Amino acid sequence: MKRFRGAALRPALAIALALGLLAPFAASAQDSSPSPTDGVIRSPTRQEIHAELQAAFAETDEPAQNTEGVYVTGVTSDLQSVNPYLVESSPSLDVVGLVYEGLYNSDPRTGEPIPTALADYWEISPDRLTYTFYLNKDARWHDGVDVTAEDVAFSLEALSNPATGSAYTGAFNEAVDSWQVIDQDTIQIVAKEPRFTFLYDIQGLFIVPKHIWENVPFEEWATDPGSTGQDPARIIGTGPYRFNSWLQGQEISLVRNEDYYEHKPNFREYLIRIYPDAEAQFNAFLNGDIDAIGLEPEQVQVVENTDGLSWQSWPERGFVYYEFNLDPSVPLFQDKRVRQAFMWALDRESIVNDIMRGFGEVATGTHPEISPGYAPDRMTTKYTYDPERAKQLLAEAGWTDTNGNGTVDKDGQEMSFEFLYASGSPTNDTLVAYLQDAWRQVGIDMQPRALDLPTLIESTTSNNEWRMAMYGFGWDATFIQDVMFGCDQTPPVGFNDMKYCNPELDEIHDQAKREFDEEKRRELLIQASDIVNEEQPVGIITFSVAIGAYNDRVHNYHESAWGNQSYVGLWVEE
Amino acid sequence: MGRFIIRRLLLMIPLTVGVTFLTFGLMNLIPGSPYTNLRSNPRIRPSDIARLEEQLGLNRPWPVRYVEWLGDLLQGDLGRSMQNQVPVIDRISAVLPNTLLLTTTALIFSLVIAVPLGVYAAARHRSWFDRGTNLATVALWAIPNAWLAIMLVVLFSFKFKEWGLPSLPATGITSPRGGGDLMDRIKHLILPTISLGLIQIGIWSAYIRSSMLEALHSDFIRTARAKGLANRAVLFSHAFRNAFLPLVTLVGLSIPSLFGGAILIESVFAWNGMGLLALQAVEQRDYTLVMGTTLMFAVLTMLANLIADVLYGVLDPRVRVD
Repeated sequence: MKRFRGAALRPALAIALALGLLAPFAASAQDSSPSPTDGVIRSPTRQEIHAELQAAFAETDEPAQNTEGVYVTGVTSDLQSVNPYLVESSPSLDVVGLVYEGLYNSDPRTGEPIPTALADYWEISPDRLTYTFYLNKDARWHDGVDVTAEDVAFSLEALSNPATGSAYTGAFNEAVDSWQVIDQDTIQIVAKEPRFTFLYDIQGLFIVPKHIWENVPFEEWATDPGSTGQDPARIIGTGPYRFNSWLQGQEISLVRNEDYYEHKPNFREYLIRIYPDAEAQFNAFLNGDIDAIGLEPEQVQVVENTDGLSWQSWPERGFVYYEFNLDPSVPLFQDKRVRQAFMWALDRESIVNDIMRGFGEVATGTHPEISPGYAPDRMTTKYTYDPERAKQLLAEAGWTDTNGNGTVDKDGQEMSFEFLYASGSPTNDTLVAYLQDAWRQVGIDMQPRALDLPTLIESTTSNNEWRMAMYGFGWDATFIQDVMFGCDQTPPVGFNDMKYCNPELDEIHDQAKREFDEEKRRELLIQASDIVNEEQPVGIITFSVAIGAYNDRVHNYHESAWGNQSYVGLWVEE
Repeated sequence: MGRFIIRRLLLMIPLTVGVTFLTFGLMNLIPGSPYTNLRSNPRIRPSDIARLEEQLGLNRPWPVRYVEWLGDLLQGDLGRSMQNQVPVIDRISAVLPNTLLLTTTALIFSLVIAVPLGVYAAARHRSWFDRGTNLATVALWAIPNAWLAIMLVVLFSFKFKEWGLPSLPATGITSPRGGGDLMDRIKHLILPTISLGLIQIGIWSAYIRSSMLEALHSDFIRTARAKGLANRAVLFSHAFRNAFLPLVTLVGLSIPSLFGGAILIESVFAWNGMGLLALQAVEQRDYTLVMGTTLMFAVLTMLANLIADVLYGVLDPRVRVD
C-alpha cells in the first residue's frame, strides 16, 4: 500500500496490489467462529482450500493445451534484490513472491488469508495472542532439502534483526513478541497485542532456507550474491518458480519448479522484461513482445482496435483524492462546511464518464465496492453535483465575494491557493484542470502546480507551506483506515498529511483492529467511513477500475484487485 | 606528441574532479533519497528509514561523502548501486557494450550517408541537388530525435505490421521468444541506429559540403584539373582528402552529443544502455550509480576529444600538437 500518482498510475497500483498479496491475508480464517469447545480459531486446511479453488476456477478455465509455453510480462523498473527481505517495489515483490513463499497466501477471490503456502493450517489461541502454524510437509526447497520449523524460526530471526536491512523490521518487531519451535513441523508465534491485523503486521515474512543463509552475517545479506542475483545457485526458495537468470536492466527469467508440491504452472518459463517507462512497455505489448499489461483508460481504444489483443476491467482498492492542510496555522479549511463545499461543487459523474472514460466509480464514503465496509446507502450525506449548495455552505461559513473579484473571501483573506499534484499523467492534468474550473464556479481560486512525486511528497510532509494536494492511494486488505486519519499518523509516521484529528474516530479504528468478528468489524468500518464522509478531511473523488490487457495467445487470463493470479490456470500458446 | 598526450591526460584529473563534484552536489540538492518511496508506506516505520539511510551513510553531509567517494575511486572502487547493491562497475559493464554498439553503428550510418551527400553537393554547387540536400539537412537537423524515433516506430513497427509488410521490432535488444540470434539483434538495431544517426547526417553533410567547397576553390585543385585528372579523382583523392581532416576533430567533438542523444533514443526503444542506466539512476536517486555513469560519460568524452586531437596531428603534418 503505497502512495501513487492519482487517477492514472498502473505501476504504483501494482505496488499496492503486490503489498496486499504479500501481506498475506487476514480475514476468513480468523473470522470463522471460534470452536465452541475450546475457543480456538482454526483456519481451513490447505487441502480444503485447494479443492475449493479448483472448483471455483473449473467453471471458467479451459484445460491447458500447451504446458511448454513462455509467458512474458513487463515491468517499468529493475529489481531491487532477489532477497525477499530487501524488496519494497512492486516488480521486485512480484518476482520474489514467485520464487519464495510465506506461511500463507491471499485468496485470489477475496484477498483473505488462506493456507496455500508453507503452512497446512494454523490455530489462534483463545486469548488471540498465540498463532500455531502447522507446516506443509510436502514442501521442499528448490535444492531438494526439506522445509522445517527451523527454517521458519531462522527467517523470523533474520527479519527481526535490523542488521539484515529490511524495511519491514520495525513493524514486525512492534507486532511480534516471541516465537518457539514446537517440533520439526510446528511453530508458534506470539503477538504483542490481540489484533485481527496481526498477520498483516508481519507482512514480508517470507521463509528463507537456513542451510543456505546461516553462515552469512545479517549485515552482509544485502550484498550477498544470493541477494544481488549474481549467484543463481544461492537463490533457493520453495515457490512454483525457480530463479533462472537476471540480465540487469533487461530481463528476468524464472522457470517452472517441476517438483512443486501443488498445482504446477501451465507454462515452462516466466519472462519479465524491464522497460524504461509505460510507453515503451505499451509499445512492446502492441508489438506482441509481452503477453499482458495494465492499461490507462486512454489506451483501451488502441487495444480494442488491434487484432489479437483483449482486455478486462475490474473494481479495485485504489482511489484518487484531494487533501486539505488542516494545521491550525492554516485557517482556510478549518470549517467543515468549507470542505464539504469542495465536494458539492464537483460533477463526479462527468469526471468518471468524460475524464476517466467510464473506468471509475463515484465515491460515497471511504470504502470501494470490494470492501466489506462498502455501504453508500448508509452514509449520512451523499454528495452530488450541486454548486448552489456549495456556495451556500461557503456563505454559511462566512466566505462570500465582498470585493466582487469572483473569489470568495473572509476577514480580508481570499480563498486562493496552490493545488499540488504529481506530474506525468495526462489524465491527472485533465482532472486537475476540471477541478480548477469547477471550484472557480463557486468562487474558489485554485492554481494547479504539478511536481514530480518525490518533490510532491516532500512538499506535503515536511512543512506547512502547502494548502491542498491530490494523490492516489489504495487501502490494504484490512480496510482499516487509521493510517490516513489517525491523530498519531501525521508525517513521517503515516499518511495523515492533513493533521486531521478526531479521537472518536481513532477509538473506532482501534476497536476494529481488535474485533475478530467479521460482522461487527464491518459495522465499525461503516461508522468510521460515515465520520470521514461527513467531515471531509480528504475528498475521495473516485474509486479506480483497473484495466488489464492480454495477447490472445494467453488463455485463462484473470486478474483481480487482489493481485495477479495468472499462475492458477493460465497457459500460453507456443 | 608524447608530452602532449601526458599533459592532456593530466588535465583530465582536475576536469574529472570538477565534473563529479558538481554532479554529486546537484544530485544531493534534488529532493528525495533512494528511500523516498518508503516514506509513504505505512507498514514501514520512520526509524526503519533512518536506519536504512544510515546504513548507506546518507545521514552525513554530502561534501564529506563526496570526499569519501573520491577516496574509494582512487582505489578503483565505484561502490555499490544503492538500488540493488550490485557493484556499480558491474552494472555499467553490463550495459556499456550496448551503448557503444548503438553509438558506433549510428556514427557509421550517418557518415556513410553524409560523406557522399556532402561531396556531391559541393561538386554540384548551386545545383538543384545541392539546394535539395541543403534543405533536407537543415530539416533533419531541426527534428527532435526522440520524436523522430517515435514516428519511425509508428511507421515501421505498427503500420507496416498492420499493412502486412515485414515490420521491425519496436523495443528491446532481442525478442523475448526465441530471439537473440544475429538476425534478431540486427533487426532490433535498425530503428535505434537510424533515429540516432539521421540527425547527425545533417551536421556532417553540411560540414563536408562547406569544407569541400573551400578545398575545391584551392590552387591545388586547379592544378589537378589542369593536369587533366578525372573529376572523380579530383573530388575524392585531392579535395576530399583535405576536407576530411577537420572532420576527424568534429567526429571526436560530437561524441558527447551522440551519448546525449543516446539517452533519449535508449528510452524510446528500451535499449538497455548507459543512457537509460543514467536516467534511471537519477530518477531513483541512486547516488553511487549516478556518479558511476557520470564518470564514465566524462571519461569517454575526454578520451574521444584527446584521440581526435592526436589523430588530427597524425593525419595532418602541418599541425603540430605539442
